Amino acid sequence: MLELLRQLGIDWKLLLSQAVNFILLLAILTFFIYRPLLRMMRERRKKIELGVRGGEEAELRIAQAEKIKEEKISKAQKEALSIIKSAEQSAGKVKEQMLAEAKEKSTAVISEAAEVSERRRVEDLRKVLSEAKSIVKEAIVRTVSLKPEQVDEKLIEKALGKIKEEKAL
Amino acid sequence: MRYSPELYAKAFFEAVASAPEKKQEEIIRRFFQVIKKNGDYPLAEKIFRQVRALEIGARGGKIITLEFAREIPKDLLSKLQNIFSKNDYLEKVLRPELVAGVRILIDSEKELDLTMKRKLKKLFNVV
Repeated sequence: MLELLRQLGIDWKLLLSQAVNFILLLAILTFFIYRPLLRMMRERRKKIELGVRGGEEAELRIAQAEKIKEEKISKAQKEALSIIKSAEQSAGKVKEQMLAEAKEKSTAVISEAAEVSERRRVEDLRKVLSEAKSIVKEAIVRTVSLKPEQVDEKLIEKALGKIKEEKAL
Repeated sequence: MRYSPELYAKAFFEAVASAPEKKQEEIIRRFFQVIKKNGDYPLAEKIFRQVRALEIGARGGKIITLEFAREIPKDLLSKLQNIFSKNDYLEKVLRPELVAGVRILIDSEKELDLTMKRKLKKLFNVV
């Protein structure tokens, strides 16, 4: 064995010392670099994973929130539409009611005006009739006063006739 | 008013009717005193109208009031007067508002209205 190594040109002492060095180095590297590094990397990976998971969760929550938001918007829009529709219907009814009331009022006003006009006409006719009566009365009285004795005589004769009739009864 | 004109009139009439003629003047004087004492002097005219009515009624007559619009001729008036009894008391009243004709009131109860006023009223109430 040793002869083989000598023929190969390998010094077993050097090899051993290098092996020891290597092992030492390996140990040192393992304990002071490799393991901390691994630990660090593991931790980093965990953090990253955590971050990614958090991000995913956040995205999910955002998506959910968006969904809720859209649902609410949709609901609000439906409600708004419903309110608008209801308001339009009410406005339509109110408009119809107001039109009907206005029509009724105008009919009442026209009817009242017609009544007032008719009353005035009747009143005017009555006045004219009354004046005509006065004029005719006046005319008759004046006619009588032209020859009152004749009228007196006729009426007194009539009175006499009636008294005689009553006495006969 | 202590007593009504009708009561006064009745009392006076009965007193005068039952008294002799000599005492009638005394009764009339005392009657006036009584009216004055009772404070009913303002009723004197009404009382004596009632007395007249009683007196005419007693002799079987009536009070006839003839209302004319103006003075009428004597012949017409006498025609009217002649149609009533001699016991009736006729009084004449002028009321120009009657226009023409005559209105006869008998004892202030019965009425015969043949005036132009009534005819005009009837005519214009119908028209």
